[in-house]
Amino acid sequence: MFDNKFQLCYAMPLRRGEAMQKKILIFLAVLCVAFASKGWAVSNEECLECHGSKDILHMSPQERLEMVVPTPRRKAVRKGGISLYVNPQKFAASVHGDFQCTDCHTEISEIPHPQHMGMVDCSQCHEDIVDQYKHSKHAKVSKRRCYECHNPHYAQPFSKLTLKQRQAICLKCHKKAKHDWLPQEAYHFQHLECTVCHAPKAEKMMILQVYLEEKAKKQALTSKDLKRVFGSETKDIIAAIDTNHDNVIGYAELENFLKQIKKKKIGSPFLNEQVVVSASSHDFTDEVQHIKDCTMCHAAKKPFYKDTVLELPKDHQTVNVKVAKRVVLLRSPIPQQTDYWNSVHGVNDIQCMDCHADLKVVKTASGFEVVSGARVCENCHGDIMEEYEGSQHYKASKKSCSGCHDPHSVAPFAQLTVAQRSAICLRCHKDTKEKHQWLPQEDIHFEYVECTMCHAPGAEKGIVFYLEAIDNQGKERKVSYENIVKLLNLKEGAELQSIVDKNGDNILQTEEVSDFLKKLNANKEYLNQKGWEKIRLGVNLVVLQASHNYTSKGLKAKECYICHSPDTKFYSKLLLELPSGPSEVAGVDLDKYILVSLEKIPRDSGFYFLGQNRISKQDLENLKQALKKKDYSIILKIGYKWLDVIGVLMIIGIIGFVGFHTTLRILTIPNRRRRRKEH
Amino acid sequence: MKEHKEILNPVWVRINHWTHAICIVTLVITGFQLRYPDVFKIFGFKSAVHYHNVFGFIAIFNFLIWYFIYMVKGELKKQYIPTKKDIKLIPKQGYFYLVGFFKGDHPLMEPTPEAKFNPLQKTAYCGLMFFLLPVQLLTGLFLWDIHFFKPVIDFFGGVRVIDAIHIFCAYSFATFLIVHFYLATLGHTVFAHFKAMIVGYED
Repeated sequence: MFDNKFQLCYAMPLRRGEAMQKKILIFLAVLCVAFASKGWAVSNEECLECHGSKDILHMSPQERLEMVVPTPRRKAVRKGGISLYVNPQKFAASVHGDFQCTDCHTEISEIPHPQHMGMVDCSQCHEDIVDQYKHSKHAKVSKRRCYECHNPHYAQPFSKLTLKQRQAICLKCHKKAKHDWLPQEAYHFQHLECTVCHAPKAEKMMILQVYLEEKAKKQALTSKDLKRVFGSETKDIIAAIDTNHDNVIGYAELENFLKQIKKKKIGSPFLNEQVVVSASSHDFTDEVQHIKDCTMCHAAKKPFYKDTVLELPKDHQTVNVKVAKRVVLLRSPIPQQTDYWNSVHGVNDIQCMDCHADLKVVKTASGFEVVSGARVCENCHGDIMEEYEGSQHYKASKKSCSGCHDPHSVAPFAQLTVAQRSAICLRCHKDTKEKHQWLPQEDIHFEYVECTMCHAPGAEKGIVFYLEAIDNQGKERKVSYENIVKLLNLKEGAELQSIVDKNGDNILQTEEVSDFLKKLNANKEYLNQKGWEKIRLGVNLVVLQASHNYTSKGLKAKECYICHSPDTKFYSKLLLELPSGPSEVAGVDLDKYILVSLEKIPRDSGFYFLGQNRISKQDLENLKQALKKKDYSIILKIGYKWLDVIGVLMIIGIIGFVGFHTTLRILTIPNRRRRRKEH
Repeated sequence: MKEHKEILNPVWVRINHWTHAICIVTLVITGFQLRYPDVFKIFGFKSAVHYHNVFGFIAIFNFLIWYFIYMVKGELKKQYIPTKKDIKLIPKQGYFYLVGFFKGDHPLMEPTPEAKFNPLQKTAYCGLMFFLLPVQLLTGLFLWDIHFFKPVIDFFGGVRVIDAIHIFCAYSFATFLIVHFYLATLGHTVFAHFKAMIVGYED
């Protein structure tokens, strides 16, 4: 019996065995004292004869005084809401129901008992909790005693308390729990208990409860419903849900479970989340860590709760089963794992409230959905919204911003790689491979060209070279500012552009880039230490200034020469992406001839810009001008483009020669005829 | 007359030659289209890519068949590898083309089934069939699927190196085509060599 009761108190900081031992000892000690002094102690029945009847509440103070032994010199203990009346049934059902009244009210050894008695000392059993509480701000400011929050006569095991019951303990006094700074205040109160924030040291867990929605009525799933889903012969319902029997319900298993409920047409199931304390701490404070910072819970790298469980009904009670953490990430609307402050919004110091303050958000089965209020993104990105709404993409898909971009984790656009940028589109457009089969070298195009290069005709595009390190396994990674500083033995904070751009004309010549790479690759010690083979130029064709006017037609559909001709205009800039600080990059203009240079620059060998390697009229013009000025560096600069010059000269030369030969042949016809006749 | 009708080019050689001719001409034209998509439009870029690929593969198989048959017959060395004597005769052959021909001199040698080529032809075809063509076909194959052949391409220094070689060979082929066509008219009549390649023998 004892064991059962104590088992329920799992919030006790003491280990169960220890706690029980202690209680039994105290119980025995109390018994001994009682025996030694007076023989049999006062029984609960005797106490409840007076205190178990509501009559005691209607007695006048004079009447009451007649029933006790007056102790006029002693001071009364503040009552703090504990009634003289104790409901016998409720007491018996409480966590303390197996105790004798005199176990706590130790001063009573006979009836009538003294009028004023000392305060019950809860620390007899709950020493650790009392100790913890004594040092809390709550105790210091309010001087409240245990029983002023917890009614010891009716207390239920903590783990059995519902969220509302737990909140009620605090709200009894904190009637105006001012949280109007909190977006979605009602929602928070509905799903969180007070101590999740106000007892920072408590251990928390997330409980997922299955609710059924039927005709706008929401009801918790019952064990009856479960029997309908799995059939009454299925005894171990948890095993039926946890199909791989690893004692953790995975995402697929949970989805499957909800699907099965749906199939039986009991109602449409949805998950309700509650975050509650699983191991309490009585060190209450109003000085919550990171006060009023939403990211304390909503963007922490590590969830602020320890476990996630699924609460299932089982014969009028509930059982909790562990749930895989991933379930929360996928189901929950809150950005649990993202590091918000490193996102483009976080970096720009956009506070949660800037977007979420005046939104009216409702909870649906699939998460949050904005149903009314100002459209959040428009506040800052009005021009983009306007452009986007005119696009074919919006007209056809009706996708809102968040359909493609997660505002909580979105990285600055400039920092996204081609793969990351394309991934935004490919999440929905899964048949791109088939649709682009007309494209020669399809894989190569997909590797170097992001979708919006073609599908956002209004965007400003460029060819961006960047420094990438190739490690011993052949993997590529971008070289950071810190890497460069160490490679070149520079001082922290050194400015890099002037090191590369030696002549200071703000345009990087091929030789300047080549020299810079040579310098970087010269520090073999650092390269070895990093496990890098070499540093080379990586290259991407990317959008520099996005346009949200997307279209399926692309850049004049399927005309290769738009990009692949020497005078192509589809890109406006050629840049080298150069880290300019620990987390910043700057684009420095590059001389166009780097694409065709004969200079040995280590670079991504897969990139080859067909068309750009061919000589154009402009090149010939440049060549003429430069030669006039006796600037012979142009000869090297033109690089691979000489191929066409040589090739065309070869053809013209041979045609000339054939022409010459033919002329001589015709002219010598009479001569040859004569010779033939002679023979 | 009978000895003149001796078969110079057997059927398989003629089929092989003309298949090769169609391939090379198509490849040169589509190649120019690929190189100069903005300057002129014969096929358009897209179909140029398509035909360039198709005829490229036909050329590869055609080359392999040619090589295989000659290997089996064991005539490769005899017909295509210039001997020391051949090399010594190159200047003489050159002199014939540049001077002797106009004077009405007799050719140094008449083609026979055993020795089809004069020393200059032999040297040129040796370079063409054992160097230029294989290099062109291989680089072309690599460029056909850059993604798939990336390791090989990287080994040679990247796409632009492979492409540069391919382009240079392409110009060489275009040049060769003109020379080849012109020299074919230098038989004892203008069409003698053409006839030999069509019906198998010269008049």
